[in-house]
Amino acid sequence: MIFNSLQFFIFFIVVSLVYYFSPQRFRKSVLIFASVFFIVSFSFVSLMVVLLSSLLNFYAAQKSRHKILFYTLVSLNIFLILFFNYFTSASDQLQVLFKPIGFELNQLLLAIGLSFYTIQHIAYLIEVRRGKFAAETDFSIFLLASFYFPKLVCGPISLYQEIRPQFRFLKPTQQNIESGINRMLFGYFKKIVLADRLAPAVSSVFDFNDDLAGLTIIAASLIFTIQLYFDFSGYCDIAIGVSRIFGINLIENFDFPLRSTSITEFWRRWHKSLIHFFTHYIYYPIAFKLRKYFLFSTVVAIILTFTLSSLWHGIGITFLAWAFCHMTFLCVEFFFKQYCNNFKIKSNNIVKGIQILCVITLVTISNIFFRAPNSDSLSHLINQLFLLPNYIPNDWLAEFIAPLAQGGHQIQLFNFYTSLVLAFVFILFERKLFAKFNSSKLNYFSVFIILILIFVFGVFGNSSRFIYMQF
Amino acid sequence: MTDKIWNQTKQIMIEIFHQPQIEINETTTANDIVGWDSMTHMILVARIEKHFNIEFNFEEASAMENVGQMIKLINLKVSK
Repeated sequence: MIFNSLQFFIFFIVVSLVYYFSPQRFRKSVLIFASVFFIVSFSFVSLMVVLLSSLLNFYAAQKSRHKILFYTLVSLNIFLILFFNYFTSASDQLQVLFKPIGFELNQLLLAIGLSFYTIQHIAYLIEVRRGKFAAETDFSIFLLASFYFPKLVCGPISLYQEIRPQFRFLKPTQQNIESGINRMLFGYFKKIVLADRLAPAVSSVFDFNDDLAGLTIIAASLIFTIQLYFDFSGYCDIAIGVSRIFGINLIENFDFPLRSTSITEFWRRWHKSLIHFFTHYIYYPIAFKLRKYFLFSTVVAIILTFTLSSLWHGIGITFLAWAFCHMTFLCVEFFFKQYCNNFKIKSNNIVKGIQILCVITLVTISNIFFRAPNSDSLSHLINQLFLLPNYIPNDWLAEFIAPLAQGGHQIQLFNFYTSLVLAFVFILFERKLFAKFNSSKLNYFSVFIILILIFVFGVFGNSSRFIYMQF
Repeated sequence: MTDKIWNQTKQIMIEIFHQPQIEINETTTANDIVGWDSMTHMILVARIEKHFNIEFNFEEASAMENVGQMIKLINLKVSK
């Protein structure tokens, strides 16, 4: 039951109505039952995994002074992420192995949202051990904080100390509801109109091992970068909107990352909740331990943090290569800032524009590795990019437009260009649009316009999954 | 004593963030200074430790929210 499905829409309406007509003391239970129902709609195994994981972490936190138990539980949480990521990455090969004994591997793969709530559990254990707050004594609250359905599947990763106090007072206001609806519409527009319209262009280049010109691959990766941003930030907008309607504020996960003027800034604006976790629980401890070595400590901390980040996304050469790109970009940027501080250009709009283009280009290059479905496809793409002499297409329509526009017939061309124009215009006016759809006042005219745009330009039918659901 | 610590800390920050015109006060945070980010924060901590011959623990180093807090902590450690 994903956010852009009819089932979710019906589920959400029913839950909201039951929630509002319930006395305040029962609202927590409504959210717990709704979350259970939501998870079971994916798989029963997912529910079992989240229950077991929450139970273990709940009791372990109460005995967090016990060093061995603490480290065992943190290791177990890390093992859980790696275990499920390994099964996801190696699913094709393992499927063949398990088939003769009749074991349904797909059931295991669907531990929905595991990477997200496990991170929250690890942060919770660490903070309790550090003495920042006392361990939770009410399991129902702990469970709800772990599997609260709006943020379960792809985040934003909510730290326990941020979300827990909000469960005490579940009384949404008129403003909550209006701003929630605004934000949900904004998210649905990003997903259904922008991301899903760009998806076919990306898929036709990355999911089939066709021989393509290098520039076509770069263009597809650029489109993927934009698609990924709309898809993931769209999910977060919907999650934030849904949650606001229940009177619970989730943290912002994106801050216009495609406007970053450096890679460091990009990582401050992209998937902020995950970066917060990696910065505070992995990067800082490493950098602090090695701080006597000054610049060297930063480099080691960057390398280890991004290696772990790649393992969090999945096990395989594709994510490692993606992480390697970003380690390199960040280290080069860091040393440039340290040693070339005399090289300063006066910042103006043109310089800023060039910097933004550079960042988007670098992120686009790294996303070739991120999007490649497996190592075989990756090596094929790299071959096309660097080893073959056909970087610039000879026939632009046949070798550039056609692969991106799924054949390049008239209607496909029209769809492709419309998608690009919509995405471009949206990015151009994104800040203004965000301000409008993040406001706590429902503007009926804007709602009407966005609904019309969704119904005219949206992609309906097979509701496509959100990209970050695989992690 | 505090003035001396204040000036010396400012000097260290100028060197690390390469900002000769840096303006700091008690409420200045990392967001107010270009270059003060997660990558340079621990370097700043290490430089302060070396300069004042003191040592922070991890909680202290990661919880410094503004310059005022930092100076207060240095003052406390130096006067021990």
